Amino acid sequence: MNIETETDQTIVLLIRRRDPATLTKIYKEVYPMVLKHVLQNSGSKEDAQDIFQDAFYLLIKKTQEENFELTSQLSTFLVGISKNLWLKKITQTKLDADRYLVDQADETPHEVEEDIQQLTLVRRMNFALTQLGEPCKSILIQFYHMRQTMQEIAAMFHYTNPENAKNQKYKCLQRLKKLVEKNNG
Amino acid sequence: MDKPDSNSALFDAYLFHEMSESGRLSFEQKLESDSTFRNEFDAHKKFIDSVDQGAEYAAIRSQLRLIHQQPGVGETPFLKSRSFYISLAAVAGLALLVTVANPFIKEGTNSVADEDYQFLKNEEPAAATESSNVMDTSIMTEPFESYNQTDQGSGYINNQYLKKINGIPLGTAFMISDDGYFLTSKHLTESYTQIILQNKETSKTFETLVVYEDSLLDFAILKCHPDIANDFNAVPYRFATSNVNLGEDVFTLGYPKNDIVFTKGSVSSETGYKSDTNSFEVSMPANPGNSGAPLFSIDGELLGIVNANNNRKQAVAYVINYYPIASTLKHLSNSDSIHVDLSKNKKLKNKSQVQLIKEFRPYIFEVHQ
Repeated sequence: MNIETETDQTIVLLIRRRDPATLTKIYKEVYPMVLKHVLQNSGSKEDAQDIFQDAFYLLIKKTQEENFELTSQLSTFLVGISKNLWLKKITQTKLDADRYLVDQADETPHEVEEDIQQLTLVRRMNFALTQLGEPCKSILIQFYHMRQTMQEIAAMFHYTNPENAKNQKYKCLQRLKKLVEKNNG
Repeated sequence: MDKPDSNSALFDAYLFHEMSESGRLSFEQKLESDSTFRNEFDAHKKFIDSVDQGAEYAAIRSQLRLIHQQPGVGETPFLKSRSFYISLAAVAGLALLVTVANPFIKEGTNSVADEDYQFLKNEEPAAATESSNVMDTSIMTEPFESYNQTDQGSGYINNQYLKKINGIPLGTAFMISDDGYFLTSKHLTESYTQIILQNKETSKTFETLVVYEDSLLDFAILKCHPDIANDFNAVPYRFATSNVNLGEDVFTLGYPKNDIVFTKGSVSSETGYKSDTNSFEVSMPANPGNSGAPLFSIDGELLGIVNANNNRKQAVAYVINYYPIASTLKHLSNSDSIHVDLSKNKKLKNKSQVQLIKEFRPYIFEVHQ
């Protein structure tokens, strides 16, 4: 599969489904470009990986939108988001922002602010879930994300009945809310 | 119901369709008429949506992290490409050295590693390589060179069998599904992206990729090339469906030396080191090399993974419970990245211990780096 010649519709569908082979192929082709850009602009390999994976996340989320259409080449699109995220990050940390190579004239403008806001929210929630610890984290993920029933969750976490699991889930959710509030405030 | 959020359970029942028709109607009526109730409901819905989104983000990032770690995806182009600055290549080289040296200094830094908690990893392979000549080094380098050729198609690892390795294994691994997945201990695999497995009885030596590592439960998932997986029949053991029982007889098959060793014992405590609930304690002798070995009940159910012993106590082995591992496997299968299908595994019944061991042996492997 060549990611640039495959029809846009097919590739969008494969990305939306998070098809492992497709994601790997795209990762392999586009990551080196982002790595190069970040390294040339006072970032590290770890920065590049972090920024690129966040950009990739945004791409996957965009393909889930109903009227999403690829307006440019996929690699251009993904590199564009990554560059914007990186620009934002270094201007925020005031890290050598003036030395940033401005070569973005060919970029299509993305909804950068919106993207960053979305990322901030999910990263915060992810952080709070990690702070929450086990088994709370897994119980909430299994219920609210994986959409397992309370019966399945009770079996998975060895609760004697779904009611006990439900009580535990309720307590976990309360604790998570407090954590999120604390982190935000 | 005056505390805020006290309606969570009710809201979830409505949102996840666990309400009766009449309950649903009166709930919807209340939403219409009671604006405080409505606001509380909206806030709840918004919050659980954000939990859903946060979990999806975590799943995507972890899928991408695994992709990044595949040979030739995240790191290799960087090391290979000449277009990067020499200083950077030097830094990368240094990082590689640190990773390779790590297993020998990492022992004490593990979160559970108090002095008496001893992983059952074999530290001798370095000495073994010296004694067992050139053949080992050719095996060490082969997989690295073959990435480029095996890169096409679905397989990103070697689909060929390798030459037999004579060195002492680091530890043990075992197959869990015939589509090519294996379990072992994380403390054996960490700092490697691929691991070589060997079963001398069936003359199989092949490469696997470390596709998942869990620090909390100290286990890793390995995957071999589909061509190699094709040579296996359905895995012959069942997976535990209940907790271990105190006093239950158990046995393990592992590689504390060059050949497979059978060890028998019984469950001496339902909790592990310092009352850890993810593991349990078995009274049986366990030696370096037993790490990653499967522990079976007397009728052949997989109960857990042998992990460590206690150097201040005689004949105590710590075993990671299969349960929490099972729920991680299920979670991974749902999140699209790693599909371990246990449904095809055979279920043996009424077999003697000797018969069971005969059936199991081909699925238990030496771990080599």
